Amino acid sequence: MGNYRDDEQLLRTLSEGDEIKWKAFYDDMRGSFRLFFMKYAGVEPEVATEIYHESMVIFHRNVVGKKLQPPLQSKLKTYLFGIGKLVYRKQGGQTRNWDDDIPDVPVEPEIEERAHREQQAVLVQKLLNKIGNPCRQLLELVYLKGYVMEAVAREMNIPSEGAARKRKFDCLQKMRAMMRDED
Amino acid sequence: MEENNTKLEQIERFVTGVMEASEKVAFDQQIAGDEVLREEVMDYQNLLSGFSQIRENAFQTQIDTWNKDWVATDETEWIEAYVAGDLHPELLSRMEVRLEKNADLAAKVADHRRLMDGFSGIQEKTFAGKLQSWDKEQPKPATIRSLRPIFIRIAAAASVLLLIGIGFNWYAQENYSGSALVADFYQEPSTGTTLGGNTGEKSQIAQLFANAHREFTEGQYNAAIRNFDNLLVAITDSELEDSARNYYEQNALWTRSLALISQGEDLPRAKASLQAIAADPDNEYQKKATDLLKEMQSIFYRWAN
Repeated sequence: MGNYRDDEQLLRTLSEGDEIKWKAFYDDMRGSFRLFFMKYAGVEPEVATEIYHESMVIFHRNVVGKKLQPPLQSKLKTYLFGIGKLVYRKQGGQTRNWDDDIPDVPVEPEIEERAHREQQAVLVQKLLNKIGNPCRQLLELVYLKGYVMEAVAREMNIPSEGAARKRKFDCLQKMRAMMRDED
Repeated sequence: MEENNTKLEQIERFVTGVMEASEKVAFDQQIAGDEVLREEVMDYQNLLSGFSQIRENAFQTQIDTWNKDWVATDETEWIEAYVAGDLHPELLSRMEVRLEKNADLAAKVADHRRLMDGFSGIQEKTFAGKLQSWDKEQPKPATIRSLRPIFIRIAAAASVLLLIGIGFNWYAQENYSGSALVADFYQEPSTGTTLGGNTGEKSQIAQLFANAHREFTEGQYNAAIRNFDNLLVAITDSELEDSARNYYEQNALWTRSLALISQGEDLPRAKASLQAIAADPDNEYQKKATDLLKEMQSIFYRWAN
């Protein structure tokens, strides 16, 4: 357990994909994030909102992808602002005179990959539409809603977590075979 | 089939980046020498990346929906920041140009100022006195008789003023009480490591530092102040490097000021300490101290404390 116990607890909830918590987090951070960038970067409110949204998407990716995990080195708010600082810099903004408490959060280059990722998303969506309901439901719970296997088993009336995990791999293999047929 | 699942589990760990470093090295080597495995890994990488992107797109859509709830009040938030002087100088200048050209916006800003002025008026001492006198009148037994219209109007006005007063009081307590302000300004430092090594003296200082912060976060402000004082003495007598000395000293003085505000018993001392920090251009907390002093001058703070 690190120095930021409440934030670490919140991080765990967010990483499970709880939509209500995500909405609350979005609402809690929005005002102070936008005001911070309006005050220190001098960006227009609309631009501040764009930076906020882009930062929030990267933050979401890092949380659900488990790249950000306890123990935390800072509050989640500071981490989010750190992403914002990088996003703003990528847009050509200067952050030299900003508060040093805001860390430099590494943000992976993604613009070049974006088109490729979109293609992969289209392909997966197409395969999900064809794979049949039981596999579709299971894969959506695991990979789109972030359910842990125990919750998947409960939701789908599968007798055990192990059985649900096995079924997940069966479905993934089936999906891969379908993908090969597509090629 | 069991073996297949184990392999798939391993591929999934590899693709999602949660594989242990040693296992990853071995797996990288395995992939390099096995074309079939390499293809399999790439296929699952594509599939899982597709899933992530779908999830991200769904989140983006959610954000757009949530944002719609806010758009209607964004302008008010912006006006509030402008009126409070919380905008970057460039944005402030652009806003002023806009106000000259846009009568509608200028009217909204003027309205906002009027509302804020109204709040200021409410907190005047006379109003506080009236609240108290109304409060004293409360226990008197009610006499049942019909009120003349003028008294009904006075009573209605008094009720409205009372509600505004309650609202104002709630807002001030919620955001400007000593503890609320301190919670906004306090940032818990990392106390897990010792700056500049781990000699006996340094670890003793680090321990004092960690104890003072722990007591502060647990609300034991007197104990925290005592430990910060001990820490400052220990630093003075120590042979710490300048960077470490500055770090501990500046943080201790800043956090001790916050503890004094939270404690609420010696505000002049807290203010004097903050003023000293705000006057030191080399102090890491200069800006924070300036901002906090500014907040402490606001009508809300004075009302709440």
